[in-house]
Amino acid sequence: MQRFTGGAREVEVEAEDFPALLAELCRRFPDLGEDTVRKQSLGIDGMLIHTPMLETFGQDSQLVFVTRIAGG
Amino acid sequence: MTSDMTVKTQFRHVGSRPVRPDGLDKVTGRARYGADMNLQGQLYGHIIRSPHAHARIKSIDFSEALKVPGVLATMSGADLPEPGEALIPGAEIEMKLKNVSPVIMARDKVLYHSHAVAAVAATSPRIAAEAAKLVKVEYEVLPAVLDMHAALAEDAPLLHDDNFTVGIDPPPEKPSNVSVQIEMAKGDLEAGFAAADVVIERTVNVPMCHQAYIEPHACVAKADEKGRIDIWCTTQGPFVVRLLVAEITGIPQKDIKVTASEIGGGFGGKTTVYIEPVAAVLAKKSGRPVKIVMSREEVFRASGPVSDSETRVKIGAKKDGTITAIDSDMIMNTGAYSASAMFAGVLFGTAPYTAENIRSKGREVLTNLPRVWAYRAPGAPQALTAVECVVSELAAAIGMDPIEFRLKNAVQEGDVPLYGMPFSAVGLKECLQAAKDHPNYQAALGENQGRGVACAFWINAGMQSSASIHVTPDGGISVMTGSPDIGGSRASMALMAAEVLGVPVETVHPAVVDTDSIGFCDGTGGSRTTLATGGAVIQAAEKLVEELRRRAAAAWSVSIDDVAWLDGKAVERCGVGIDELIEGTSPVKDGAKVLTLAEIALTAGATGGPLTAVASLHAHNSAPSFAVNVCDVEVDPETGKVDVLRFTCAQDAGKAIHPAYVEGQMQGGAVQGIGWALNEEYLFNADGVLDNAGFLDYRIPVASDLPMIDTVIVEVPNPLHPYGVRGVGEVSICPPMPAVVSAVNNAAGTLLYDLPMSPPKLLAAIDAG
Repeated sequence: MQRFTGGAREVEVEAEDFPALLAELCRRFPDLGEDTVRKQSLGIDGMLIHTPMLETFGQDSQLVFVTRIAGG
Repeated sequence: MTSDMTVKTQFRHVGSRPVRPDGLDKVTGRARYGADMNLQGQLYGHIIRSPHAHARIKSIDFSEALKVPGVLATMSGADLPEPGEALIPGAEIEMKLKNVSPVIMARDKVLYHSHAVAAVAATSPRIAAEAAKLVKVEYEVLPAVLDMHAALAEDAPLLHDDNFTVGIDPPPEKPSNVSVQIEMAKGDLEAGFAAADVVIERTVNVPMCHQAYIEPHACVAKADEKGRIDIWCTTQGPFVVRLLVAEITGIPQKDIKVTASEIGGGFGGKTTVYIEPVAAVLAKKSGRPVKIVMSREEVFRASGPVSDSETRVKIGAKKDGTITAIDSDMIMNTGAYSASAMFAGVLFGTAPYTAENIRSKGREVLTNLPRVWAYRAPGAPQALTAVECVVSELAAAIGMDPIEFRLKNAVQEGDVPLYGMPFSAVGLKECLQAAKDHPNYQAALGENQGRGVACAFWINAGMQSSASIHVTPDGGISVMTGSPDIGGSRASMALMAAEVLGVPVETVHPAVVDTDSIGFCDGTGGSRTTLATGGAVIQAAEKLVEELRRRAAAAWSVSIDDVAWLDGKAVERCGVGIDELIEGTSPVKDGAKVLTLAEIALTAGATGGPLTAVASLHAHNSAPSFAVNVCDVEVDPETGKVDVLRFTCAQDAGKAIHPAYVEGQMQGGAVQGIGWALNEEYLFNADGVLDNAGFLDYRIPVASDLPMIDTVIVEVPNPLHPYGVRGVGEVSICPPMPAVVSAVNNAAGTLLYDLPMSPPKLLAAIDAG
């Protein structure tokens, strides 16, 4: 994802839920594209969410995008 | 999102070792595996495979084959929808249909030897095989690339004209054989190496191998007059089969039912399909059931083996043992289509360590070899082997015990690995200490003997699962899930249901049912089943307890709040707190009413109908696992033969639901890793033909090759799971390879990092001094 964020690894975002997060990231980084974001799992305060479409966040939630990994 | 989960620590059933429910059927031969299913009037499918590693298909002529009496259907890639650029919706990870469908049946080109080209269905296996010989396939042979370095050459023949490497900025204008590349980094690598007192750099090669499940792929497909397809097959995921057959053939998922047979091993290799879409198409075309069973040779040549890799690793450390920097660069072979686990290798190879300065790069390379597929903890063993071998060398270089060195650098709660998510409570340090405390670690080593240590990480998955529980009128419990039992999950499901319901585990009957009979379950893979499907079982059992209390309350004309569930019985509280009753700090009052589960079940018809509960979930509570192995070997300097003398596994299971099965996972992973380190490899000739497509020449370890694999289950509870469970099925294959490699190099005085360490290769390294 860093290829589309000008190299930024961490950003601060105001978003109550995943749709708001998606919209804000795509507004800030137009090259990112919704698909790139949706393809990632999302770590939310230590929980790894495979498909975070409806997740909500707390005031100081720490969010981490993690490439989806297949198990065996 | 936060978790206020309370992790249970006192159990009645969980943690015990009841007899496995599938054991008797398996040892008596009653268990029905994939090839054991037969249907009246069935045909037998035979797949025609490419004799070339790279060729254009000019034409396929079935006319002579169709003249053979008994041949009732044929198919080729033309019978499957064009995949285009479509993604497979609902797949575990992003998968392009064009990387999946052509593996089932080639379209315009064959990309590896034994690539499926066409199929016939006939009334007997012999007729099908004879007819297959009459199918005329005309090829234009193309130059093939059979190893990664050849594929990376500027002028290498291209497998796919439309493959433009993903991950390069700006995007490349020319196609290549690199499908994707990635670079992850944190800290200041240069400063990290500048701060190091010792720097060691090695290149480690791990060979292509196979999951070597004993049961070959097998299926039967039946189509009815309405076009509905029933499939019986050996698989790790019947819902995955339903999805992939639908996407590949165009038959809607709603028209497909999949029933998983008993499974004779999968290890990741049965999380996809090879023959099921072919059987489905042939069944539709012929109007008869079609059975396909892959031969052992076909499994080796044409199912998905495991990526070979080449990893250059450079690590720096201070004299006090602090790792200051890790730089890793991996190339991973994906075979003919993008499917490797390179990302996991790049992300997880350094996960055990707190090093602040890390760079990890990876490239996935296309070659004219079979499309690779998953094997326990896909991608991690290759990466961790490289890192761990260098870590062991560093410890030796500064004169530090290899476990102490790792303890000094081991991650713990709050540390942030390269993939960015801070660890919750993890058990790496506990595993290292357990390994150090084990008597095997104190055993004296003799001449030509050596010891190796390695630790490892795997992320583990959660994902979607469903469970339903039904109560029979006499109080028996049926627990149904859609997760095939590849490692003891039925026993674990029974234990967790018994724990919640407070009934003897022997009264719980666990079963794996078909895709029409249960809600969606992702496949049994990713070390997710005990955690996620078990979570669904726990939730369903809790719902059932609620219903049982409601029925008792109705019978006694009291509020449900006045009814506690204790040891499989509804008990009138009579004012005593539920917690006090459950914990036993207050006894049940004299005269309190009691109804057993069987008594409630017997009258269920009159109190509201059958007792049943279902639960479906998307588990977000997985947590990673760590493991540590210690291996002692003896090397015969005359022959290069290696004997494993002692092998110790310590692994964090969070909470072992059925400890014997957890130990089995640890031992199985260890044995597979030992085999990969010492013997197992794909050997291709110059034409890309696999030379060792059978267990005579592809050497997996057998019991007589091995000592007892000693196990220590470490239990650092997963704080996100009600019982503290972590996945246990995959991390166990990550540390054995580096533990064995370091042990052999220490015994032989070599620096051999080209696996497998087979006798001729090791002897050459010894002779080279």
